[in-house]
Amino acid sequence: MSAQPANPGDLLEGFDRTITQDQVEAYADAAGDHNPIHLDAEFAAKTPFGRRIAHGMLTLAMVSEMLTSAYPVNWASGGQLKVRFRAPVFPGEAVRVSGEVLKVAESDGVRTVEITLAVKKDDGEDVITGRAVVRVD
Amino acid sequence: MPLQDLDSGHEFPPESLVISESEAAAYAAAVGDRSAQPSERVPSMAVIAAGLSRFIKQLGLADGTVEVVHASQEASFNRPITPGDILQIRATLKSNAERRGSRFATVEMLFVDDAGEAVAEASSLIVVNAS
Repeated sequence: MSAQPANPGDLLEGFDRTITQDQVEAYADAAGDHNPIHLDAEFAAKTPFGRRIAHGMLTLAMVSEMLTSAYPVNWASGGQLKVRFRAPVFPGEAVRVSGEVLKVAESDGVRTVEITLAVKKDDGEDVITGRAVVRVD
Repeated sequence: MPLQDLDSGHEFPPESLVISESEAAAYAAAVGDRSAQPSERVPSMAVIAAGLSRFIKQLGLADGTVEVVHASQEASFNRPITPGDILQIRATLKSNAERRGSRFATVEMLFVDDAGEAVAEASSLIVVNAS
């Protein structure tokens, strides 16, 4: 495993994923979120989105996966994030999950990194933007 | 009770939450989490997602009569959650306002273990549009 990102400019190991309708349906069952905007094509067609969309929390789970991979202990023990959902992901679309250390802070001997988070579509459209803070050893 | 009838500060009835190893594995498979070790640790965001789903249901927003969009999310984690951990979710309606025909509501959740320790916190902004 590579060293954990701990300095400004360090990149977290991002990844590309395509979200499928099968995945959305599996997520609905796993998370207990059966909102028809994700599952019911007829219902979704009447919304401003015009078709079914993936759960925002499904996409956010990928951000958490990236943070867990980068900080296997400290993300689940003291990690914080704050994000906005900027655009829906339609099943069949691919997204790129990424993160970059923005700055480092130290207080009472505890060192933390602030990370910019991004999930974007192939055309560059923002899906999720936000920040995370994680302690680094 | 319908969301529009609730005041800011409303405290929801607490919910209990236990995520089993098989549920953690199903969640990890659904989100495609390759870092997950669901036999040892529940994926962090699974806890928040499960909690939010419960309060969406409590608010009667999961029945397809309204369009619900998730606008923003905050989360913090104090310790890893192990499959089988018994948690209680204490949730408060932090804000609830109507603007331009849409209702904006913030639900804050505190996840507490059976020793009374807070293990995670979350704040979710949802936007509800009448369909």
